[in-house]
Amino acid sequence: MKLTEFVVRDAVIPELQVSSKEDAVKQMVGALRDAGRISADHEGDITLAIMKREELGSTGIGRGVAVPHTKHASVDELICAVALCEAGLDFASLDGEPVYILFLLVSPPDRPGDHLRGLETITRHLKDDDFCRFLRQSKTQEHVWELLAEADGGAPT
Amino acid sequence: MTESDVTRRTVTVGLPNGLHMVPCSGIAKLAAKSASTVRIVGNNVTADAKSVLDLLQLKAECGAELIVEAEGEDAAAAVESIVRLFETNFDPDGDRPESANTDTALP
Repeated sequence: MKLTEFVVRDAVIPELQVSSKEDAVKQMVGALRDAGRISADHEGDITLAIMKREELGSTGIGRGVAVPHTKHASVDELICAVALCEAGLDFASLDGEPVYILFLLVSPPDRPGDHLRGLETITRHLKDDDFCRFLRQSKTQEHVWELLAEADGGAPT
Repeated sequence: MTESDVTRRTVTVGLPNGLHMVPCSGIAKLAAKSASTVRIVGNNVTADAKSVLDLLQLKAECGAELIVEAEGEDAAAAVESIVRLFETNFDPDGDRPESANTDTALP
């Protein structure tokens, strides 16, 4: 699976300005709505489901990265918003460190395999120090997209 | 370290949603308590069981067979405790307190 297959280009937020985990999730879900990938009717529901999932354990998985996610029946394929927070965000991460890179995933309930493949794809790239560094330095949607496409080019399909 | 020092068991993923982030976190927390090197092998991936990022590389779906292996002084106990997670399907009501993880409808 390639990043550019499920990341929504118009839902990339290169300079996320928020002060809380919930605000970050709201803005990222809002970006998916603005991009036309989820309906306004489901926006609140999806945000709530993602925050409830966080209660099970933070998706801040270390290395300055968080992958908040949920399933939702209103989407028919895996979709993902990306946000970069230069100042760092308290995400109650497993390692206690702030989060700078966020990948927010929404997947159809009947396709758990796609969710696993999306998580694998994201975390495989995030293990690469250069990828994380360049991503954090990106200031525009175009730059982020180029970086994702470049990473895809070197990845096994 | 010789091959005979490695404790190894095969497990099957019984979770309908596969080995997603919550069970991976549960495995990593448990593995971190061990002084041994603990690995989970499957899908041509060898994952450090103490790393959630590594475990997610397994992309193990329901029904997948994985090998839990450990090397070190408490290798057998480490493998046993992780196998127990799989055997109880990561159910918090399992009869061991350290298997306190949940697999709900959320991924």
